Amino acid sequence: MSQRPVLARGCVGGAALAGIVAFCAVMLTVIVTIGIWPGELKLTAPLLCSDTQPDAFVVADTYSIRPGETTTNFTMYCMGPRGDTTDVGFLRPAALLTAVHAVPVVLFLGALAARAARRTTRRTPGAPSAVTRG
Amino acid sequence: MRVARAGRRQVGVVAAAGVLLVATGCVGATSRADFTAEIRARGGGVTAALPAEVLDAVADDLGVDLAGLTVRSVTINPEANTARVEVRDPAVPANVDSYVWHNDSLDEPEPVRLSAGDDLDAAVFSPASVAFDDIEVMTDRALDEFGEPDGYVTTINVHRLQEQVTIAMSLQSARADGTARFTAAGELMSVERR
Repeated sequence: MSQRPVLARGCVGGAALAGIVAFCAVMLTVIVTIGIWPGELKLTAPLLCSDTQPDAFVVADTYSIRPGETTTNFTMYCMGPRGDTTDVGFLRPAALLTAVHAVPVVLFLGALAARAARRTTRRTPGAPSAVTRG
Repeated sequence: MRVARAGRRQVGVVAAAGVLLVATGCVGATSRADFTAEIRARGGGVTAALPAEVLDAVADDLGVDLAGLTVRSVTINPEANTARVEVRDPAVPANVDSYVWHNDSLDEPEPVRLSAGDDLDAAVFSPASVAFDDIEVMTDRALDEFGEPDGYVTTINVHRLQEQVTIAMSLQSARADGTARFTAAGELMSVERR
């Protein structure tokens, strides 16, 4: 039997798994960073702010686009002791946080996979099924 | 019965998540007004790095070094992290171009319309002769002399009037406006309240 289909299946499976992890990490970032705790962006300050501007701020700008509708943008700034600032934006710190959020996602999916594997092992072929569900 | 209880639990979880989102939304974020107030509380954001960065970028764009640069004015808005430099074109000395610095980069130069009576030779100066390196010391001195505890610098304008190059700092507080003037070497000439 050729190795190629197995390899291709492995690649497709790996890409699908990476996609699922990336999607879940992005969703987690959207929920946590935009919905609950925008200040989480400040955790990236050691990587994105220089030593001369060590204080990070996440600034919320709220606009009313049309009556009854508001939009809030979050922007991270680094500030120095004299009030000098650098606009870091939202995308770079959010991308870093997404990478960090991927860790719990991988752990969660790993735990689910381990649980499923344990169940499969318990139901080995030929062995009588321990649990029958209707 | 068990299904109904599980459904109720799911509804409860969703409701709790909704309450959490509404109650905790924007944790750790600062409003624009508070952010601006923080910049002002720290003096307005004046650093020696900004004029140095801007002038180096302009000189680079013109293909000259700082000593070869001739400008008509340098205006800095430290709070917005922007600057505008009116530069005499080294290739065509009768022309002046305006460079604007914002978002940490230089925009394309725009031509400046001059009046027939403008004496360009009497208005330009070399930015290398201005003590931009001491701008932080000058700021502290100006704010001390201004005497307002919540004072900050709004703009810095460097221009030449007659024979003298002057650094004019606009100062502001909740209750007063003022202007501090320094020589090109950074010596304080005056601090006036408007």
